[in-house]
Amino acid sequence: MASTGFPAWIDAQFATARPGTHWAFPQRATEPVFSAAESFWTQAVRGADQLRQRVAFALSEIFVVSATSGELSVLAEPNVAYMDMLANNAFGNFRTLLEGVARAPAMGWFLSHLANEKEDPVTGRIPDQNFAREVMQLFTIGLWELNADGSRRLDGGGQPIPTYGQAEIAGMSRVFTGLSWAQNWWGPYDWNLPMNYYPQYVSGSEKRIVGGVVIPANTSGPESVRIALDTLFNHPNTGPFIGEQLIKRLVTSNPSRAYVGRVAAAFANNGAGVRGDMRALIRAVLMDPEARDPAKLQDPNWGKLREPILRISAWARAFNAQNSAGRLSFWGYDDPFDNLAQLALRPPSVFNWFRPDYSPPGSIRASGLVAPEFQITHESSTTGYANFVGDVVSTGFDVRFFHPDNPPIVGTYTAELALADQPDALLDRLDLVLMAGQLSAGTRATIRTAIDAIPTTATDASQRRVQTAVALCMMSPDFVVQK
Amino acid sequence: MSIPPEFDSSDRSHGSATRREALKTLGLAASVGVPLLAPMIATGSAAAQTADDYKAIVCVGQYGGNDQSNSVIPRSGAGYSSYQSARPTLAIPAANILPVTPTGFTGPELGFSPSLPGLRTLFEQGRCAVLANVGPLVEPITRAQWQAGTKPVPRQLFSHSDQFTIWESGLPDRTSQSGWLGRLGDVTAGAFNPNSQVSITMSIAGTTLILAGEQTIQYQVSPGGVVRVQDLTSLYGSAAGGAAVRQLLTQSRANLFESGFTTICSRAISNAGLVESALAAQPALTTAFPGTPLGAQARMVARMIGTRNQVAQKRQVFFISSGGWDTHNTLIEEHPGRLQELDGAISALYAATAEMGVANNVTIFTASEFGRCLQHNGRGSDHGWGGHHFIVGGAVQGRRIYGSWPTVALGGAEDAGNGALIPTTALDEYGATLARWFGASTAQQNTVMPNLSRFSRPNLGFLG
Repeated sequence: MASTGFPAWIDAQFATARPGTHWAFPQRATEPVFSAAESFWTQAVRGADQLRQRVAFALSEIFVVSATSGELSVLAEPNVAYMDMLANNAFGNFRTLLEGVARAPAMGWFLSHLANEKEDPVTGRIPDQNFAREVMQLFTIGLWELNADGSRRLDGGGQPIPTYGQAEIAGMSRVFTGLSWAQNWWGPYDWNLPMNYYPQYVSGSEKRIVGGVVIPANTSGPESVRIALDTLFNHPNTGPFIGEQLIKRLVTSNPSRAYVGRVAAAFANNGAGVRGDMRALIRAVLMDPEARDPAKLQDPNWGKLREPILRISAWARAFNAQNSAGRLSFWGYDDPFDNLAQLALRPPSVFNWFRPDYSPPGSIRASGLVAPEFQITHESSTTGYANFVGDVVSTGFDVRFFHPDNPPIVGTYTAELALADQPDALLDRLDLVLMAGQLSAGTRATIRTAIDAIPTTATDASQRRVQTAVALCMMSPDFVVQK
Repeated sequence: MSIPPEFDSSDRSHGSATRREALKTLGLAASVGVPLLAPMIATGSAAAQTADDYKAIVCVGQYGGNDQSNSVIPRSGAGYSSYQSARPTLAIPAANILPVTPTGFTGPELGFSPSLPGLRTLFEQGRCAVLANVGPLVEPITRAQWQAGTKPVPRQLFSHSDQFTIWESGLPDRTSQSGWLGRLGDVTAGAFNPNSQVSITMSIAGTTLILAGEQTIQYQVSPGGVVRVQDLTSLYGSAAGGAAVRQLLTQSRANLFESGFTTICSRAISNAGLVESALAAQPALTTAFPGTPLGAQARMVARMIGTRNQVAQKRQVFFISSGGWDTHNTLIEEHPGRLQELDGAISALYAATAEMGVANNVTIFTASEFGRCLQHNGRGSDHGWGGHHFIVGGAVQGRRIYGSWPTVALGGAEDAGNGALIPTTALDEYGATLARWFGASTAQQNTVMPNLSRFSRPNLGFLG
């Protein structure tokens, strides 16, 4: 990266092909939902398309489906198909991504607009409003009208202005009727194909949606959805709303309003008059002067907690972790007594593991800042993390409980073991491969003391010195917080 | 769906497979809220506390959906005949059913499963009540309205994870980041536990949504004891390594996020020490607990109740759970064992509270994602909706059937299909009744159960 520069690296990443689809993961059919998690980890750890992997994971935390619900908790197919959809659209256009989200069977299942029938005036039944609500609240415009820099617009009385009300939810719920499985209303369950329209179940009512848009009566299903998604895509909130969340997922928890404004401007226009260009959006997030400012490293308000999945993937990438069969069958590491409170593919709800505006009590809240990842950072998960690190560095990730036939996932420390007698060189290497150069002098001294306390003549000295160094790096706040 | 049998959390050695107690069987992991650093202002009735005003609530989760029809059973006459004819291969012989004699009850003669001798005794002693046909409802609904589809119903009815999530959130018509016992903690912790550093809600069964409040973060204890950071004194055999672990996890940092992380780590280490010391200081209980997973969890609840003064808590909310209730085709073989485990654990916990002199201060209640269909499928029963639940404790106005006893027959007034029960009492009413006893004001009951006003009985009466 240093030789090509960051912008060139980003361009090269945009051009890097996916390592393959999740759908093609070999164990998809034989190891149901577990294999979807393994496919996630395999691509996240080994993919050459690291930027796409990272962005796709971020998108999965915005456009949430969870393998805790119904068929998604059992089958691999809905999960891998949905991950493919996100990855395939990560570098495209937001409008296409939004269409993919809205028509994904996994989303239809999770937010119940799959096989959602039009209203029935005779019985009084109304369409399901689940997806209708979340596509606005969580996936595009949010609850409050925003300025171009993401701050809330205020009315004449100084109050924030809601983006929609119950009438718009009802209207939007009628838009998302008549969608079901690709081939037939009741199936087969084609998880890998977009949901299709079934005119007999599409509401023919007039649909009032956000921004005063009215979809006339007797508009077809596809046309209603097109108008609705175009309306959300073109809403002034969508750029700052999505842009701010991507900054929080990728860079820092508390971007300045100006930073959000610059990112939102890139969403609005990629420089060639195109709205919603994801490459322009991602470039703006990563290359913003605020994101690249070295002085920010000293700013006490800068940075973000690295969520547990990203800590594990950092370890697994740095040390080429795998089991003796060459697999990354991570599953079950969220045991709250030992582990991390974050199990891949299984956020507790459509609200993800944490909300973008979560602010923990104490000095962070007192400073008026947010720290989303702290929503899953508590006594149990911090204890679990420290114990997880102690175990995983020495004996690997023991998956036998969930995969009785699988050996543990272990890291390879060959390069580090060669430096076991040279603690400074060892720490330099760990600073490079694990710590993104953020190992502070104080933490380095603490770890150095611990390494030195193990005499080079002791039993298993090299191994213990390396394990000590790696584990302490991973427990350090320098690693846990990305700056 | 069942919870694996290994529960030995005392083995903290590196690389041990037994450490992973694996309470993760469902997608219930949820963790929200903020730690209780600052005491909240006492409000409402929760402020009225006295020196010996201690209360605890213990929720016993039954993952998989308990078959209510083989738990509380019409034991004679036409009632038994209807039961027997709906599930001939599953029906318990009338002679084996343990008779109970509820007061003020005009329905059929009832009995408990032969696997519930302890609860039957407690029932007859007036220490146990049954709440009949309770379940999640969006609003009251009749069979006709259900069949016509004219009333909203909980999302994803009959789905395990979704329905247990609803039992935990108390919100069947929307997504929630908090659970109703967590919200009960939110509204009572400041008033009753103003000086406690330990959360008012405590899980012995892993992270649960039900104990997560908007502010409250559940504290977790394993059945074997407090989970501690294992490398504080020695990392890979090195004391210096252990010292470095402590220093890195607890040092103060200039960056607010680093500081936030080390602050929480510090509290985790300090609370683990506090609770562990408090547990160690407890006299041994003479009450024997069954050697089952649920028995081990119940024993830890009793021990934590014993620490209430050391941890400065006048209010405690606990969650324990057992799995294996999803008896699609194993009802005959497995349901009796599940009931025995439940019966033994609850009976022992009640006895332990009596031994500690707090029997009147602790209320135990059961929860399960749904009841099951009355209709059999040969060897078991399929997912239902409403079910019967037990409430146990010295404060319980027991030997009574609360709610509305359903028609135990196919095609009855509450039949949602195949003998699944349309609930006639809402979970909201169940929870609000417990919350009221615990000290929640009327306004606070509505915080705990936000849809409560849609239902008519904020106090079902089983706690007076």
